Amino acid sequence: MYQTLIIIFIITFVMSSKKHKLVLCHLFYEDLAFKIVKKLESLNEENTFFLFNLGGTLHSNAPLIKTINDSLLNKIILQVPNAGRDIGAKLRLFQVAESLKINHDYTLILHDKKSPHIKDGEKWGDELLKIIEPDYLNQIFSTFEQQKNVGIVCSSNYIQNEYSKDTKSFLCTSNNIIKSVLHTYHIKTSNYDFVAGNIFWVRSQLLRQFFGSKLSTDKIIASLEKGGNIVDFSKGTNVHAWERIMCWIATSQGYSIYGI
Amino acid sequence: MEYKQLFQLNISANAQTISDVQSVTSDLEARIVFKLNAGNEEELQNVLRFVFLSGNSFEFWTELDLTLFEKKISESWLNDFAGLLCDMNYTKLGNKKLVGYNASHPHAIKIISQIQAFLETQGFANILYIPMQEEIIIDDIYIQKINSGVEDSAYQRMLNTIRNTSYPLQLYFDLTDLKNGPQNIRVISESLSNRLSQAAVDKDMLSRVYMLKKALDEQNDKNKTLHSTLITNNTYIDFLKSIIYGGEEEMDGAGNYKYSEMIKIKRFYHYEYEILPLWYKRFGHILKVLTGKRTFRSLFNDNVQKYK
Repeated sequence: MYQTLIIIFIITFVMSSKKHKLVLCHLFYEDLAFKIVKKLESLNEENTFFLFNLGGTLHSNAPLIKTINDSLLNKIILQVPNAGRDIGAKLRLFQVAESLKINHDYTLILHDKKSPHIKDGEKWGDELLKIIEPDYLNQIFSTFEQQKNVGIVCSSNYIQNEYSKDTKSFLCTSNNIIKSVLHTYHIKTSNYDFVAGNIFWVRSQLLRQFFGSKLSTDKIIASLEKGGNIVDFSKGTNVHAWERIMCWIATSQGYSIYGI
Repeated sequence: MEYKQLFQLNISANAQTISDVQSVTSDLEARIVFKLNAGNEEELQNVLRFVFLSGNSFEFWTELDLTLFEKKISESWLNDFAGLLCDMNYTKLGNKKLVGYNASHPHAIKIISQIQAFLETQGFANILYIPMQEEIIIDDIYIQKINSGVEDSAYQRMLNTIRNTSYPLQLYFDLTDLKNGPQNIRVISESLSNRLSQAAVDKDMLSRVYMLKKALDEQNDKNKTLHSTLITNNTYIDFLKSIIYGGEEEMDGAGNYKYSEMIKIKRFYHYEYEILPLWYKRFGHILKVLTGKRTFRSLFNDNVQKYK
């Protein structure tokens, strides 16, 4: 019994280590940026390609750029214009990866989540980032390998669902925008689970299928709010709508979200 | 190199000559100007791969040749061009990225407008579109094309012009137009540097102007980010106020703030229950157990079911 389990584990580990990984990382806060780059070293291998966007003033932060260059094998550092906060940057990074025909099976989408306006905002970010900790990586890839219906793997504590079947609406300020986007682009799903915080692993084929057939990344970026002051406290935004819809890229193709 | 304080070398390359030109630019501490045919997807793909995947780090900007332009530039080319503009080493002057184009094309304005409109939707607001000529002065930036040597009259004109701009003079060389390419660039640059050095006052003053202008641009960039953060924080403060005061911070006739419904309920709870003595509240809990509204175990353990 134990021997079988060990063999399955070894096979899964070998298979997942051969898979190509793409990391799309948006950084904005200096203190968190160094911490995240350090954590990402656990993924640093020949089969992993990192794309970074240095937002705010980080593009002129020479120590950070040196740390990225020195610690990671395959990497590209970009300075994407401030359009649509982390969502716009992640979409642009994905578009660049596709233009360069970078081979990838699993994509990690992340940013330095801080939420300074929320109590325990950093704790929220830390919890979401456990999916890049070495202790969880094997579990994540073996989940993808063994459960073919899983499209996204993320921290279980932040899988949320705001959809109300009674009112057929989403309990958030971006309700009308979400409905409009889903209608315009014919995105249909019965599972409205999403990762609050937008940090997750996803099967790359789902991103390619979605952006290849339904709509291109530039159309989404064009719809996102520009500049830095994008909050949804009292009024919804396209950015916050897409923060949720990003996960429905998987659920609309029949895949589920798995929490660890 | 000393002349870097006063002027900057820019050397053009295309998809075929990138590797050769890059060895020259790295030696001369020059920038590459990629000549791209607007709309040619294969060529742009080659340049993208060279910039991002060759492992070489070099500063560059682009000059668009519009000759091959037909009807409409494809979305794919525009997206790849947007990707190229995101490179960390793409040249910025005054926080604007430089994109040159051949202004002699009859539809130049129309084509550039199309590219500009797309890029603006993608957030690229700070781009300086430069109609390339022999001599260009645009947005405080002075670009001079050099085809052979620099004659006395041309030197004097350059000197007079750079006194009125805030960035180092941009010398632009097209390697294909120059005999003995890199060697010629070196000779011209050193000769120009010597002549500028002789005008010692100009040289020191200009270096200082350029240095301060660069520092100012960097501060403006930081200022922009800080300003944006400030607006976000102010928006959040307004949001918190709206929770507390239900919108505007208004006062009633007695000079008290008008509070939102949520705050009214919270205050009601506080004054009706929270201020009661502790022994009274505890007696209330026991009463709840006796009337069957709360479990007995929950009086001693927070981890069990509290209400029936």
